[in-house]
Amino acid sequence: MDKSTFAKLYMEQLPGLYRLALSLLRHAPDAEDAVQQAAVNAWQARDRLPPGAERAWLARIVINACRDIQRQRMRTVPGERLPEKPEAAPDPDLRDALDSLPEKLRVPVLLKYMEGWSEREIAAALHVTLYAVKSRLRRGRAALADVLREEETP
Amino acid sequence: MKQPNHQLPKPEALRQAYGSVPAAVESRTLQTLAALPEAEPAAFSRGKRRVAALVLALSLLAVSAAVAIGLRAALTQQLGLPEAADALVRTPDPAAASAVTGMAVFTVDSYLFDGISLMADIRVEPTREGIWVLPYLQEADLDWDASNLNPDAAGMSIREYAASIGIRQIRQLQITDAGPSRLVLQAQPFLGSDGLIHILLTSSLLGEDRQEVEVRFAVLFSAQPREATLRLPRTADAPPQRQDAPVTIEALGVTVSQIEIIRTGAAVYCRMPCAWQDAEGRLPYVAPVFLDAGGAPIDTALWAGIAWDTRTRTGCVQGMLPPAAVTNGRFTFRLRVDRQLSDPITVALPPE
Repeated sequence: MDKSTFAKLYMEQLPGLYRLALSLLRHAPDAEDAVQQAAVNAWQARDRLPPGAERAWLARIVINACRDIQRQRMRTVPGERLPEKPEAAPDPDLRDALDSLPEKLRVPVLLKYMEGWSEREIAAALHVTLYAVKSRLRRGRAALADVLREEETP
Repeated sequence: MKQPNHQLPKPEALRQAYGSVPAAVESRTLQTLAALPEAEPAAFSRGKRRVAALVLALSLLAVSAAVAIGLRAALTQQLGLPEAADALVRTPDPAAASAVTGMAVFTVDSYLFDGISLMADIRVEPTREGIWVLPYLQEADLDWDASNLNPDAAGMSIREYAASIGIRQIRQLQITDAGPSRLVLQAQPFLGSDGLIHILLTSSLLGEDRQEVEVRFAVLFSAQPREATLRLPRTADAPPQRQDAPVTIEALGVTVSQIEIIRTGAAVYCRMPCAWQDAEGRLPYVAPVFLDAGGAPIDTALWAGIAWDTRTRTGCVQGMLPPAAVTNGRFTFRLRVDRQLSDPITVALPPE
């Protein structure tokens, strides 16, 4: 794959990859770092890019980049991080509700219902079985519904 | 009894909850992609890659250890330095003082340290493609006016300015005295005309006379904090000479009533306290433009733009005097106020 084709592919997927990183890291600058690092990592490993499953493959790389950042965070002394301006979300309640889900449920829910991925793609990206994806989606939907119901209750 | 399913938000609503991809992220990603190397990827199997990575890591470890030992021995031998107990950079030569974090090189272009006060111009050079460091002393500096960096950025916050020129991350650079108090030095970061970031350090807060000062940098970005330390020996046994040049300049609404000149040997450091006369309007960009003997402007990369105190409407431009600006014990400059220049001003230096 040449560089321009790769760049085109990556830019097409960038919105979803960025939202995925943001949902994992909940910190815009780190999410930005993650998609940059993922671009470099993906390019270096492009000979292993599976034809037809590019999106899931790139998502896997973004997830790994996020994991690296999370590991680094644990080594960072608290207080060294700059407070970031809260991102302006058009619907902060919905964002809060999504963020309140455990990551294990949040990511499949977002990939499925926000990005429109198939369950098979999600399984490939998360390195879990199709059964596990179905189960997490079911639990994630229920958990999100509970949170939203609570928010609606005066 | 089974609860009725709560209606899940539509995909568009979910996407909006996380916001759209900021333009800065798109732009940065395009830059990252453009900077990717064209070379073919290594066609190894996973097992071979792991073995190769292990061999490479071991080799690098051995090579870096050998290089470190060799370098230290060479430095110790050539410069007659005592063996350091750690891997810090020690140098009596300001031009050679540098520290590498793995992501940036810090170089002391010039400094004065008389045992008590320190003035230093430190250059920051990113070593990784697409990586930028914008230094900050403390959180409060985030509201600092970006006109310090560029007059065209007046009215913008540092964060906005950084985004406008493609700086992707704002992370903190802490510059601290390594003494027991670990007091924070005054630091003024600015973009030099060489396109690199410079930090102007000034401090007179060291409580005791010292032979050496240690400046530590903590660079935080890409979630990978790194540290670099510079040790600066005192530049002279005798304290530097200080002299106020009685000069009054009212150039284009900015008054400079005196110029403080601090001299140690050939190094000359100047401070020009400024006041902005107009009560209204934004505070202007102010910087000196030094002239050589022929009247031509000299690169002022080593001078920081003014940092205004918005409350008192006073500020100070400061930096090392370019040697080319000194002719017969005098130097000449024009004061730049935004895009306008004052008439030439000549100031006599104190005798050596």
